[in-house]
Amino acid sequence: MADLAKAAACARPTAFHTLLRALSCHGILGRTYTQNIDDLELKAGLTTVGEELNCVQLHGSMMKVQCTQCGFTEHTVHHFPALSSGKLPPCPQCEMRIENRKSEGKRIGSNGGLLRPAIILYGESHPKSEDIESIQILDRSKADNLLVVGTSLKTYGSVSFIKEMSRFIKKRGGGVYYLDLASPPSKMVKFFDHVLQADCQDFAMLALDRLGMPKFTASASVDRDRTEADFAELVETGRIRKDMRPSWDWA
Amino acid sequence: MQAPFEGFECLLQSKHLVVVLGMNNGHCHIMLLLTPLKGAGASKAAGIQPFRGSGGLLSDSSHSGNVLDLFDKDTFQVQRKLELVLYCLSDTTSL
Repeated sequence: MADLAKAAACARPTAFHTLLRALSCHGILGRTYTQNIDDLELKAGLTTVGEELNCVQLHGSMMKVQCTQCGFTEHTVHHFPALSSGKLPPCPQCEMRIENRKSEGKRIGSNGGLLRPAIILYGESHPKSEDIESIQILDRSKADNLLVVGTSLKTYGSVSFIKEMSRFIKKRGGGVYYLDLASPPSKMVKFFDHVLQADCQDFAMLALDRLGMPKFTASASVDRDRTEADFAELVETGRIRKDMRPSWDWA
Repeated sequence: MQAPFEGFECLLQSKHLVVVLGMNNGHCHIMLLLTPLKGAGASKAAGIQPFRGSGGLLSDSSHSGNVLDLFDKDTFQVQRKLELVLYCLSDTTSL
């Protein structure tokens, strides 16, 4: 997991991520529901919190760790060594609580929690499931188009969500679109009004052009050589996110 | 890409567009290989079936293809002690 998180920390948003941000800036994007856990949507400028929440991470994020007991969260970058060893690190907040209780001569109660990647494995419930349900209900009432990108439509959750959303959208006269290199499964075809078999990066480039956005040029420099301390500093200062937004979005 | 926007023009006129991103989408560009990186041919030879999505996820054929299936639920290490190698497809985002 640590290797995966570190690789994702190095990765830069692509043209499609930039398109999502551009759609948001143009008032077109209502919401992105992502099954990805790499935070690239957030690096591109989408947000998972507050009134401007426009990205729902259905499977959480591997870029954060969360305490199994108290819910304390922190960036994964601070725990690469422990996670690499296969041992979940102890929660610093729980440790502090225990130390405080010890010093006060109080009963400790529990040994404190462990920090685990804040991802949702199959069979686990999403800690924000009630919030996500409310957001979905809101989107069902407002969405005028649905774009499904890069999913083989094999997992129950995403399929049922798409089916339900498509029903509401079609009732309002909206369209349901599928973009992937492969065609959708035959039993799902009826839910889509338009199917485009293409690389979504090509699609994104064209869409950005139609929106009149500057031509997408990803920085040639990558963060491969950055150390864990470098990453920690970037996280602390917030630069890791801002640096990876499209340049027109830096203001 | 032929007739790239045919039928898709209306998306850019949306007032409240909802986008659903899967894990094997090209937007992510992260590929997972379960053997040391020697190219896709080597991965296939090792029994790894590439997903034919928009350029995304490779996975062990015994898995559903979802990255979440790869992790041990207690340690979050990759299961079965297989080496996990990540890289990105595009030159612009290669790691």
